[in-house]
Formats: sequence, structure tokens, C-alpha cells
Amino acid sequence: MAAVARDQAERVLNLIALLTENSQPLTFTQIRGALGANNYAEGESGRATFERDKALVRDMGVPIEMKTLGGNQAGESSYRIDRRQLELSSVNFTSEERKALQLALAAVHIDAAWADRARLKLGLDVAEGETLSQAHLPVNSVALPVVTEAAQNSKEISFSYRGETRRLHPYGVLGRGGYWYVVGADQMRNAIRSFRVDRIEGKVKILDASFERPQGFDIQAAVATDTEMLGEGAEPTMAHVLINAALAPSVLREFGNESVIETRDNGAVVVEVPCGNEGPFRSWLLGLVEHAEVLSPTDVREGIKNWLSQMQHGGAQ
Amino acid sequence: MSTAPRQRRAGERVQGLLIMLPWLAARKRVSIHDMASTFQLSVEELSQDLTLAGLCGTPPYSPLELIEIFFDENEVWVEIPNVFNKPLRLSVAEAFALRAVADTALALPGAANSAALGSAIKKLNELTAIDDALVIENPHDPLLAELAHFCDISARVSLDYFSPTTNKSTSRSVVPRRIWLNGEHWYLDAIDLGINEPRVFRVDRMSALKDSGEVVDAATLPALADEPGFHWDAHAERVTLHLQPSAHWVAERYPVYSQRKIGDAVLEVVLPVTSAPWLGRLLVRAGNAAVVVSPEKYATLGADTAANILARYN
Repeated sequence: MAAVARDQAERVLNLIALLTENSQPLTFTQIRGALGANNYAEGESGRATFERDKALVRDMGVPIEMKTLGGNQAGESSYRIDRRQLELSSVNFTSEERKALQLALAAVHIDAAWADRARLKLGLDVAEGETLSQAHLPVNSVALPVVTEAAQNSKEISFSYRGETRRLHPYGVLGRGGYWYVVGADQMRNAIRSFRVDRIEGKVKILDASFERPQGFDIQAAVATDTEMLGEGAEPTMAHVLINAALAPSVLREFGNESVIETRDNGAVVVEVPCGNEGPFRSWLLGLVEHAEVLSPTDVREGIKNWLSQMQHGGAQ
Repeated sequence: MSTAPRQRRAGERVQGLLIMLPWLAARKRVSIHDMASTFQLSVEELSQDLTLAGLCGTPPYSPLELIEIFFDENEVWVEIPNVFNKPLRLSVAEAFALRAVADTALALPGAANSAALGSAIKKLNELTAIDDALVIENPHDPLLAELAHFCDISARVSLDYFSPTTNKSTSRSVVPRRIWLNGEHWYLDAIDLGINEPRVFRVDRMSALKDSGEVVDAATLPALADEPGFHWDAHAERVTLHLQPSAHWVAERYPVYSQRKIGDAVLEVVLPVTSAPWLGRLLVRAGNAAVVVSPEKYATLGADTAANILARYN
């Protein structure tokens, strides 16, 4: 007989072993009979302990199947864990692929233990030596795997965002510029919308409703880039901005050489950039401080002057 | 002095064991110190967990059904019954992280054998069912490949660099050492030969990159920090700002020492600041929705920066 079960960890490990080893589902009575009263006491308290353990097992991502019995056990629940659902399918990485994955895991640092756990499950070692190029991948929301799972399984989700409840058919998840976005069809607004995952408030619920993602849906195109956001105003307006030589290379990397409408002898350039979205345009322009000047249109130039003047004198903006 | 082991939840211990046991089964016999380090546990915590596993198995709990753990000096080995000897399926979070890491690694300049990584990703997709539901977009910069090559050979190069810290562009002679991606920007760790110290350069602020043709012995160069990043703590000033809602983005976009809500609207943040021009630039973008609370010397910095830019328009 097993030693007396002293804590939940030991009980839960025994429970997983029992439900995995048996090919037939077991009722709670059978589970208690097999594991003994040391694990699950008689009466309601034993049942409550079992319910807590079952919830913990499911929280860990171990799938417990439940089946309601018929016949002389009608209405009683029975449980099993399908090994095929529990265990990793065999994956035959070549030695080159294993090495490449090990190097990837050494070079890209992610703010969560998830990647390390995956590495251990796949039996990958830590790559040795220094990597000359590295990346830091911020993971700032526990909702990320949940929305990815919903997108992968085409399941509707609901969540709270800026104080409003949203229902979304998530078509995909995009990582861009250190932020994560879930993109899809907003069921309340009947339109394609994207949401910053770290701004989702509270838990994301995966609902029963399924959907079909439109063929060829472009997740990247559905989320405006910083440069595209400059032009997202009511009117499609373009501004001509004079950029000093010091910052010209950096601005041209952002907008491309095709944005240049004039190059001056001192290396300064005049670029044509979208400015319909006042706030993002102003933020971009003032980030260049005195190295940039709006030349036209006049109202945009005056708007910038007014903002700076109010700031200089402490007035309302 | 030994410290008391931290309290760990049952779920954490079981989840750890479900990964550890198949890992140990595949290796048969390992050093307990190496295993503790691999699983980021103390030796004491690992011993506790493995001892716990040794009490588990399936009825009738004969030795054949129990997990057998053996400790011998500094080594541990295990006999595991049928049930815990295979690795568990990746959770959605683990599959997500692995895909995100692999996709990001593909974008790294000089990434070793990207063909092998590409085919590994295909196999991962079959394993995890995450395919085109997840897209990782990484920025590109035309200088990356060249810089990766210069890092590889420790070349001395010259470049022009605009620094927001000084608000000036200067020519530098550097030895590139390491490239890294953080958020939307690529950075270069290099030894600035003018001061013979490591410095961080944002790649999109570089221009006029030229190879001198000279290769430097890397062993003679000052060491970089172990991890890439902004190591500003030592010389940063602590600046307290009050942010109205339209300037709350400051707290999302930049590292902060602390933040707290004051009333319904105002967010108080304490930022690390390494230069007045950098802070001035931030303040002028945020406008009057950001107010410097301390130190006093920066109280008019936003207005002064605005006046400086405005002078260009008048």
C-alpha cells in the first residue's frame, strides 16, 4: 500500500497516474477505492478534495475527459486521461534542426518560462557559446496563449477592453514592435478590429461559437503600422517636412527614398509624409525636435506652432 | 547560511515533475546539481520533489508500479513505470513561445543555418497546430547584414551617429560586437574606440558606415555586459512626472521605476533619465499633459524645448 498521502501534489500525481493508466473511465467511487481513503476521505469532504484536485489538473493543461454513465450507474460521472492527448507526439528533428532550435532559444529571450519548459519537453539542450545577434521578446500578458489558442481553433472570444465588453472572432495574433495584437471580426461593431493584448482587462473567455476565417485574410495589413497611422485621419493629407542632414538617414529608413521631394546642398531633405492623424503626426515630428520643420500645408504648420507656443506659455492645448 | 525553502504551490511542483520525470527517464543518471540548475530549483527543492515522486504510482503500488528514485552522492537516477516516462504535449503557451522564438530567430542577422530553423518550424507547426494564426513581424534595417559581418570578424569601422542624449550627430570609430532587437528597434553593442568603452547604438540612427579594413583582436577589447540591454541604472537620474490620460503612453513606452494613480486621471511615474535633451524631447511630445514634479531643475525643460523648436518656425 502506498504511503499516507500528505499533500495535494502527491494526491494529484497519483490521480494523473491512475486516470492515464486505465483505459476505461473511472467514477469517483472507483477512484477513491483505488487510491484509498488516505487520498480521498469518505463523504463530502473527500468529494470536495477530488473536485479541487481535478480543477488543478485541468489548470495545468492535462486534459481530463468526463463521461456521464448510463444503465445502473445512470447520471454518474466517470473520468479518464487519454494518453494521446497528454503525451507529446514524436517529432523527428534532424540534428541540424535541433541545433538551430537550440541556437534560436539561446538568442531570443522571452519574458516567460514557457519557452524553457517547451525546450525541456522537447529534450533540447542549452546551446553553448555566445550568439552575436540576439532579441528580446516581451510577453506582457497572460492572455496571449488564450487568444492564440482561440485563433488557432477558430473560436469566438469575449473580453473587456477599455471598460467595454467585446466579442471577437479572432483571425490571428500579430507580434509587432514589442507589442501583441489580436485581430479579427468585432461582433459588436461588425467590422475588422485589432486590440493590443496587454490592454485586455481581466480574463479572456473562449466561447462555444465557431467561425471560419476569410480565405487569404492578411493579419499584418489589418493592423496599421506607426507610419500608416500618421495618415489615418478624416482627410488624406500629406505634409512636406524639412529634415536636417543629421536625421535624414533615419527618416528615409522609415519612409523610403520615394518620400524625398527635394535634397538640399547641406544634406537636408524635404520629405512628403502623411499627416491626417494629428496626434501621431505631431508626436513623430516633435520626436525629431529642432531637426525637423513642417513647411506645408499651412494649417498643419500653424497647428504645430500653436502647440509649441501653448507649451512654451503653459496654455491649454 | 542556508535559507528555508520557499513555499511552492502543489500545481507548480506537479507541473515541474511532469516535465522532470520524462527528462530524467531519457537521461537515466544525472548530477543532482546539474539537474537542479536545469530546472531552476535549489538542490533541496529538487530532492523534495523527487522524493515526493518516489511515493507515487498506480495501484496496487507494488515496486513495479511505483516511481523509483535513487540518490547516490551527487547523482540521481530513476526507474519510471509506464505512466510518466514520455514528455507531455506542449501547452498552448509553450507552443506559442517556441513559435515566437523560432520566428524571431529567423529574422536575426547572421542566424546560423536558417534553412534548418525553417524546417524545424514546419515540424513544430505540425506538432502544435499553430500555423498562420500567429505572425511575428520583425523590423528590417539595411545595415544589419553588414554589421553582423563586422561583429563576426571584430572589424574596426567608422560611422556617423545621431545621439538623442546629446541631440547631435558625431563620427565614431567603433568595433561592433553584438546586435540585438528590442521592441521595434535594432541596437548594436560596440566598443567606442574614442573612449575604449562599450556603448549602445540604435542602428537606424547610424549612417556613413565604413570598414577600415583593420581587424581587432577581440581578446584585447573591454567586455560587454552579459545580457544586452540598457544598463542605465548606474548613472540615471530619477525624474517624477504627472501624466494626464493623453500622456499615459509614456508609462507604456519607456521603462519606469514606479507608477501610481493619483485620483481618477493622473498617473505619477518615476522615470530613469540619462540626459536633459532626451527628457525635453519626451516632454514636448507629451505637451502640457506631462508635468515635471521633480527634480526642480527640469520644471521648465518642456517649455524651453518647445521654445527652441519654435525658434525654427519664426
